[in-house]
Amino acid sequence: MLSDAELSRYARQLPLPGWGPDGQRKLTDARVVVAGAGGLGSSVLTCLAAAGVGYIRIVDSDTVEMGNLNRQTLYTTGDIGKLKAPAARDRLAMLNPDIEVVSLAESISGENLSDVVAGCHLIVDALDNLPTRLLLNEVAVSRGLPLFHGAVYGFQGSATTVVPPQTPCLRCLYQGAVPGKVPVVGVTPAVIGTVEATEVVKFLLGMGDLLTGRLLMYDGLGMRFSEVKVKKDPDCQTCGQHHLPGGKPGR
Amino acid sequence: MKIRVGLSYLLRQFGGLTAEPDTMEVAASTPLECLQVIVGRFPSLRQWVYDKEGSLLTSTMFFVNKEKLLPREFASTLKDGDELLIVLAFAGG
Repeated sequence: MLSDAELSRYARQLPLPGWGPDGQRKLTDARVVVAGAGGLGSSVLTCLAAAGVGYIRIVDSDTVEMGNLNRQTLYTTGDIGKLKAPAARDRLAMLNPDIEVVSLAESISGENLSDVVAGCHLIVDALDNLPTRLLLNEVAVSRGLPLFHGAVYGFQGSATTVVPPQTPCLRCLYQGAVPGKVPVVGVTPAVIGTVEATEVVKFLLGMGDLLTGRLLMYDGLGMRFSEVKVKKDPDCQTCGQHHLPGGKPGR
Repeated sequence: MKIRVGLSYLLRQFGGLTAEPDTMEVAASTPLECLQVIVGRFPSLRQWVYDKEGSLLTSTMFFVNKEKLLPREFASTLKDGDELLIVLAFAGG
Protein backbone atom coordinates (compact mmCIF):
# COMPACT_ATOMS: atom_id res chain seq x y z
CA MET A 1 0.00 0.00 0.00
CA LEU A 2 1.21 3.44 -0.86
CA SER A 3 0.96 6.06 1.86
CA ASP A 4 -1.19 9.15 1.39
CA ALA A 5 2.02 11.13 0.93
CA GLU A 6 3.20 8.77 -1.80
CA LEU A 7 -0.19 8.81 -3.53
CA SER A 8 0.03 12.58 -3.55
CA ARG A 9 3.68 12.79 -4.59
CA TYR A 10 3.30 10.39 -7.49
CA ALA A 11 -0.22 11.41 -8.48
CA ARG A 12 0.80 12.45 -12.00
CA GLN A 13 2.60 9.21 -12.88
CA LEU A 14 0.37 6.65 -11.19
CA PRO A 15 -2.41 7.03 -13.80
CA LEU A 16 -0.08 6.03 -16.63
CA PRO A 17 -1.08 2.71 -18.25
CA GLY A 18 1.14 -0.01 -16.82
CA TRP A 19 2.14 2.08 -13.79
CA GLY A 20 -0.36 2.36 -10.94
CA PRO A 21 0.38 1.41 -7.31
CA ASP A 22 1.93 -1.90 -8.39
CA GLY A 23 4.35 -0.15 -10.71
CA GLN A 24 5.19 2.44 -8.09
CA ARG A 25 5.94 -0.36 -5.66
CA LYS A 26 8.42 -1.80 -8.16
CA LEU A 27 10.26 1.52 -8.10
CA THR A 28 10.07 1.74 -4.32
CA ASP A 29 11.54 -1.74 -3.98
CA ALA A 30 14.36 -1.08 -6.46
CA ARG A 31 17.95 -0.70 -5.32
CA VAL A 32 20.03 1.27 -7.77
CA VAL A 33 23.67 2.34 -7.85
CA VAL A 34 24.56 5.46 -9.80
CA ALA A 35 28.26 5.66 -10.60
CA GLY A 36 29.19 9.29 -11.10
CA ALA A 37 27.48 12.36 -9.66
CA GLY A 38 28.62 14.86 -12.27
CA GLY A 39 26.74 16.12 -15.30
CA LEU A 40 25.06 12.86 -16.26
CA GLY A 41 24.63 11.90 -12.63
CA SER A 42 22.89 15.16 -11.77
CA SER A 43 20.24 14.44 -14.35
CA VAL A 44 19.88 10.71 -13.67
CA LEU A 45 19.79 11.09 -9.91
CA THR A 46 17.23 13.86 -9.93
CA CYS A 47 14.93 11.90 -12.23
CA LEU A 48 15.22 8.63 -10.32
CA ALA A 49 14.75 10.24 -6.93
CA ALA A 50 11.76 12.23 -8.12
CA ALA A 51 10.20 9.11 -9.66
CA GLY A 52 10.49 7.33 -6.32
CA VAL A 53 13.25 4.77 -6.78
CA GLY A 54 13.44 3.48 -3.22
CA TYR A 55 17.16 3.07 -2.70
CA ILE A 56 19.85 5.00 -4.53
CA ARG A 57 23.56 4.63 -3.88
CA ILE A 58 25.67 7.52 -5.20
CA VAL A 59 29.31 6.75 -5.92
CA ASP A 60 31.71 9.62 -6.61
CA SER A 61 34.99 10.63 -4.99
CA ASP A 62 35.21 14.17 -6.40
CA THR A 63 34.57 17.47 -4.72
CA VAL A 64 32.40 20.21 -6.19
CA GLU A 65 34.29 22.85 -8.15
CA MET A 66 33.15 26.12 -9.66
CA GLY A 67 33.77 24.68 -13.11
CA ASN A 68 31.21 21.93 -12.47
CA LEU A 69 28.30 24.24 -12.03
CA ASN A 70 27.51 24.81 -15.71
CA ARG A 71 26.14 21.29 -15.92
CA GLN A 72 26.08 19.60 -12.52
CA THR A 73 22.75 20.93 -11.43
CA LEU A 74 22.61 19.03 -8.15
CA TYR A 75 25.01 21.54 -6.66
CA THR A 76 25.03 25.19 -5.78
CA THR A 77 27.82 27.71 -5.38
CA GLY A 78 27.63 27.04 -1.65
CA ASP A 79 28.59 23.41 -2.27
CA ILE A 80 31.99 24.25 -3.73
CA GLY A 81 34.65 22.27 -1.87
CA LYS A 82 32.22 19.67 -0.57
CA LEU A 83 32.33 16.02 -1.56
CA LYS A 84 29.85 15.44 -4.36
CA ALA A 85 28.38 12.16 -3.15
CA PRO A 86 27.13 13.39 0.24
CA ALA A 87 26.17 16.79 -1.21
CA ALA A 88 24.07 15.02 -3.85
CA ARG A 89 22.58 12.76 -1.21
CA ASP A 90 21.53 15.77 0.87
CA ARG A 91 20.01 17.47 -2.17
CA LEU A 92 18.02 14.39 -3.14
CA ALA A 93 16.85 13.90 0.43
CA MET A 94 15.27 17.35 0.19
CA LEU A 95 13.69 16.46 -3.15
CA ASN A 96 12.23 13.18 -1.92
CA PRO A 97 12.50 12.32 1.78
CA ASP A 98 10.50 9.10 1.25
CA ILE A 99 13.42 7.30 -0.42
CA GLU A 100 16.78 6.15 0.92
CA VAL A 101 19.85 7.76 -0.59
CA VAL A 102 23.33 6.74 0.49
CA SER A 103 26.67 8.14 -0.60
CA LEU A 104 29.96 6.41 -1.24
CA ALA A 105 32.72 8.97 -1.70
CA GLU A 106 35.21 6.57 -3.27
CA SER A 107 36.91 6.12 -6.60
CA ILE A 108 35.75 2.96 -8.32
CA SER A 109 38.48 0.38 -8.71
CA GLY A 110 38.90 -3.35 -8.94
CA GLU A 111 39.31 -3.42 -5.17
CA ASN A 112 35.95 -1.90 -4.23
CA LEU A 113 33.87 -2.94 -7.24
CA SER A 114 31.98 -5.56 -5.24
CA ASP A 115 31.11 -3.08 -2.52
CA VAL A 116 30.04 -0.48 -5.07
CA VAL A 117 27.34 -2.71 -6.56
CA ALA A 118 26.55 -4.92 -3.53
CA GLY A 119 22.84 -5.52 -3.08
CA CYS A 120 21.80 -3.41 -6.06
CA HIS A 121 19.50 -4.54 -8.86
CA LEU A 122 21.05 -2.42 -11.58
CA ILE A 123 23.90 -0.05 -12.36
CA VAL A 124 23.75 3.40 -13.91
CA ASP A 125 26.92 4.44 -15.69
CA ALA A 126 27.16 8.21 -15.32
CA LEU A 127 30.94 8.27 -15.31
CA ASP A 128 33.35 10.43 -17.27
CA ASN A 129 36.01 8.00 -18.46
CA LEU A 130 36.11 4.75 -20.40
CA PRO A 131 38.40 2.62 -18.16
CA THR A 132 36.08 2.93 -15.17
CA ARG A 133 33.04 2.41 -17.37
CA LEU A 134 34.58 -0.85 -18.56
CA LEU A 135 35.20 -1.90 -14.96
CA LEU A 136 31.52 -1.37 -14.22
CA ASN A 137 30.71 -3.29 -17.38
CA GLU A 138 32.78 -6.23 -16.15
CA VAL A 139 30.95 -6.46 -12.86
CA ALA A 140 27.61 -5.97 -14.61
CA VAL A 141 28.30 -8.86 -16.99
CA SER A 142 29.76 -11.16 -14.35
CA ARG A 143 26.77 -10.64 -12.03
CA GLY A 144 24.08 -10.33 -14.67
CA LEU A 145 23.20 -6.79 -13.61
CA PRO A 146 21.65 -4.42 -16.15
CA LEU A 147 23.89 -1.45 -16.99
CA PHE A 148 22.53 1.85 -18.23
CA HIS A 149 25.14 3.83 -20.14
CA GLY A 150 25.39 7.41 -21.34
CA ALA A 151 28.28 9.54 -22.61
CA VAL A 152 28.70 13.11 -23.79
CA TYR A 153 31.08 15.40 -25.64
CA GLY A 154 30.12 19.01 -26.22
CA PHE A 155 26.72 19.00 -27.88
CA GLN A 156 27.01 15.29 -28.74
CA GLY A 157 25.69 12.42 -26.66
CA SER A 158 25.06 8.70 -26.79
CA ALA A 159 23.30 6.09 -24.72
CA THR A 160 22.69 2.36 -24.67
CA THR A 161 21.40 -0.28 -22.29
CA VAL A 162 23.16 -3.52 -21.47
CA VAL A 163 21.21 -6.50 -20.12
CA PRO A 164 23.63 -9.38 -19.63
CA PRO A 165 23.92 -11.97 -20.94
CA GLN A 166 21.45 -11.41 -23.77
CA THR A 167 22.72 -8.12 -25.15
CA PRO A 168 26.03 -6.68 -26.33
CA CYS A 169 28.04 -5.22 -23.48
CA LEU A 170 30.00 -1.97 -23.35
CA ARG A 171 33.19 -3.79 -24.35
CA CYS A 172 31.44 -5.04 -27.50
CA LEU A 173 30.69 -1.41 -28.30
CA TYR A 174 33.83 0.44 -27.23
CA GLN A 175 37.42 -0.37 -28.03
CA GLY A 176 38.57 3.13 -27.09
CA ALA A 177 37.46 6.73 -26.74
CA VAL A 178 38.76 10.18 -27.57
CA PRO A 179 41.26 11.07 -24.82
CA GLY A 180 41.65 14.33 -22.94
CA LYS A 181 39.45 16.73 -21.04
CA VAL A 182 35.96 16.69 -22.50
CA PRO A 183 34.16 19.98 -23.13
CA VAL A 184 30.51 19.72 -22.14
CA VAL A 185 27.52 21.98 -22.58
CA GLY A 186 25.22 21.60 -19.58
CA VAL A 187 22.19 20.72 -21.65
CA THR A 188 23.83 17.64 -23.18
CA PRO A 189 24.26 15.54 -20.02
CA ALA A 190 20.79 16.72 -19.01
CA VAL A 191 19.41 15.16 -22.20
CA ILE A 192 21.45 11.97 -22.04
CA GLY A 193 21.05 11.52 -18.29
CA THR A 194 17.31 11.80 -18.77
CA VAL A 195 17.50 9.10 -21.45
CA GLU A 196 19.35 6.86 -19.00
CA ALA A 197 16.79 7.51 -16.27
CA THR A 198 13.99 6.78 -18.73
CA GLU A 199 15.58 3.44 -19.50
CA VAL A 200 15.91 2.62 -15.79
CA VAL A 201 12.29 3.43 -15.08
CA LYS A 202 11.12 1.42 -18.10
CA PHE A 203 13.25 -1.52 -17.04
CA LEU A 204 11.94 -1.47 -13.49
CA LEU A 205 8.34 -1.22 -14.65
CA GLY A 206 8.73 -3.67 -17.53
CA MET A 207 7.43 -1.10 -19.97
CA GLY A 208 8.40 -0.16 -23.51
CA ASP A 209 11.41 -1.10 -25.61
CA LEU A 210 14.86 -0.77 -24.08
CA LEU A 211 17.93 0.56 -25.87
CA THR A 212 19.46 -2.90 -25.86
CA GLY A 213 21.57 -3.70 -28.89
CA ARG A 214 21.11 -0.13 -30.00
CA LEU A 215 23.24 2.98 -29.56
CA LEU A 216 21.22 6.16 -29.43
CA MET A 217 23.19 9.08 -30.84
CA TYR A 218 22.22 12.67 -30.07
CA ASP A 219 23.47 15.66 -32.02
CA GLY A 220 22.41 18.77 -30.14
CA LEU A 221 23.68 21.12 -32.82
CA GLY A 222 21.76 19.47 -35.64
CA MET A 223 19.06 18.57 -33.09
CA ARG A 224 18.85 15.04 -34.36
CA PHE A 225 18.45 11.73 -32.63
CA SER A 226 19.56 8.68 -34.58
CA GLU A 227 20.37 5.11 -33.68
CA VAL A 228 22.58 2.30 -34.85
CA LYS A 229 22.59 -1.38 -34.06
CA VAL A 230 25.28 -2.96 -31.90
CA LYS A 231 25.88 -6.70 -31.93
CA LYS A 232 27.56 -9.03 -29.47
CA ASP A 233 31.19 -9.70 -30.18
CA PRO A 234 31.83 -13.43 -29.80
CA ASP A 235 35.45 -12.59 -29.02
CA CYS A 236 34.57 -9.86 -26.49
CA GLN A 237 37.06 -9.83 -23.62
CA THR A 238 34.19 -9.31 -21.18
CA CYS A 239 31.08 -11.10 -22.42
CA GLY A 240 32.50 -13.38 -25.13
CA GLN A 241 31.68 -16.99 -24.44
CA HIS A 242 35.19 -18.09 -23.58
CA HIS A 243 35.69 -15.12 -21.26
CA LEU A 244 32.60 -15.73 -19.11
CA PRO A 245 32.74 -17.84 -15.97
CA GLY A 246 31.75 -21.32 -17.09
CA GLY A 247 32.25 -20.42 -20.73
CA LYS A 248 33.67 -22.91 -23.15
CA PRO A 249 37.44 -22.49 -23.38
CA GLY A 250 39.58 -23.05 -26.43
CA ARG A 251 37.15 -22.10 -29.17
CA MET B 1 32.33 0.55 -55.97
CA LYS B 2 30.48 3.59 -54.67
CA ILE B 3 30.04 3.87 -50.93
CA ARG B 4 28.12 6.67 -49.25
CA VAL B 5 30.24 7.70 -46.27
CA GLY B 6 29.07 9.81 -43.34
CA LEU B 7 31.33 11.42 -40.75
CA SER B 8 30.11 12.13 -37.24
CA TYR B 9 29.89 15.75 -36.19
CA LEU B 10 32.74 15.33 -33.74
CA LEU B 11 35.03 13.99 -36.44
CA ARG B 12 34.12 16.81 -38.78
CA GLN B 13 34.60 19.30 -35.95
CA PHE B 14 38.04 17.99 -35.05
CA GLY B 15 39.04 17.99 -38.71
CA GLY B 16 37.74 21.52 -39.27
CA LEU B 17 35.17 20.18 -41.73
CA THR B 18 31.90 21.33 -40.25
CA ALA B 19 31.23 23.38 -43.38
CA GLU B 20 31.59 20.26 -45.51
CA PRO B 21 28.61 18.01 -46.27
CA ASP B 22 28.24 15.34 -43.62
CA THR B 23 28.15 12.60 -46.24
CA MET B 24 30.21 12.01 -49.37
CA GLU B 25 30.60 9.36 -52.01
CA VAL B 26 33.77 7.30 -51.99
CA ALA B 27 35.06 4.65 -54.37
CA ALA B 28 36.59 1.94 -52.17
CA SER B 29 36.09 -1.69 -51.23
CA THR B 30 36.35 -1.80 -47.43
CA PRO B 31 35.70 0.51 -44.48
CA LEU B 32 39.43 0.91 -43.91
CA GLU B 33 39.96 1.83 -47.57
CA CYS B 34 37.10 4.32 -47.39
CA LEU B 35 38.78 5.98 -44.44
CA GLN B 36 42.10 6.12 -46.28
CA VAL B 37 40.42 7.82 -49.23
CA ILE B 38 38.71 10.35 -47.01
CA VAL B 39 41.87 11.12 -45.05
CA GLY B 40 43.64 11.58 -48.37
CA ARG B 41 40.96 14.06 -49.30
CA PHE B 42 40.96 15.75 -45.88
CA PRO B 43 44.41 15.34 -44.25
CA SER B 44 43.26 17.29 -41.17
CA LEU B 45 41.39 14.14 -40.12
CA ARG B 46 44.52 12.00 -39.92
CA GLN B 47 45.52 12.72 -36.32
CA TRP B 48 41.99 11.94 -35.09
CA VAL B 49 41.74 8.47 -36.64
CA TYR B 50 45.34 7.21 -36.88
CA ASP B 51 48.23 7.22 -34.44
CA LYS B 52 51.71 8.43 -35.39
CA GLU B 53 52.59 5.00 -36.76
CA GLY B 54 49.52 5.03 -38.98
CA SER B 55 47.54 2.47 -37.00
CA LEU B 56 43.83 3.01 -36.56
CA LEU B 57 42.96 4.59 -33.21
CA THR B 58 40.66 2.48 -31.09
CA SER B 59 38.29 5.42 -30.74
CA THR B 60 37.39 5.13 -34.43
CA MET B 61 34.13 3.26 -34.95
CA PHE B 62 32.60 2.04 -38.20
CA PHE B 63 28.93 1.42 -38.85
CA VAL B 64 27.68 -0.10 -42.10
CA ASN B 65 24.02 0.32 -42.92
CA LYS B 66 23.51 1.47 -39.33
CA GLU B 67 25.11 -1.59 -37.74
CA LYS B 68 28.39 -1.42 -35.83
CA LEU B 69 31.26 -3.41 -37.24
CA LEU B 70 33.41 -5.55 -35.02
CA PRO B 71 37.13 -4.74 -35.33
CA ARG B 72 37.75 -7.88 -37.38
CA GLU B 73 35.17 -6.64 -39.90
CA PHE B 74 36.93 -3.35 -40.64
CA ALA B 75 38.55 -4.90 -43.71
CA SER B 76 35.43 -6.69 -44.91
CA THR B 77 34.22 -6.08 -48.43
CA LEU B 78 31.46 -3.53 -48.86
CA LYS B 79 28.68 -3.71 -51.41
CA ASP B 80 27.80 -1.06 -53.92
CA GLY B 81 25.35 1.33 -52.29
CA ASP B 82 26.37 0.50 -48.73
CA GLU B 83 26.26 3.37 -46.27
CA LEU B 84 29.30 3.71 -44.03
CA LEU B 85 29.27 5.91 -40.93
CA ILE B 86 32.56 6.80 -39.22
CA VAL B 87 32.23 7.92 -35.62
CA LEU B 88 34.66 8.92 -32.90
CA ALA B 89 33.77 7.29 -29.60
CA PHE B 90 33.65 9.60 -26.57
CA ALA B 91 33.20 8.92 -22.88
CA GLY B 92 32.60 12.24 -21.14
CA GLY B 93 30.04 12.58 -18.41
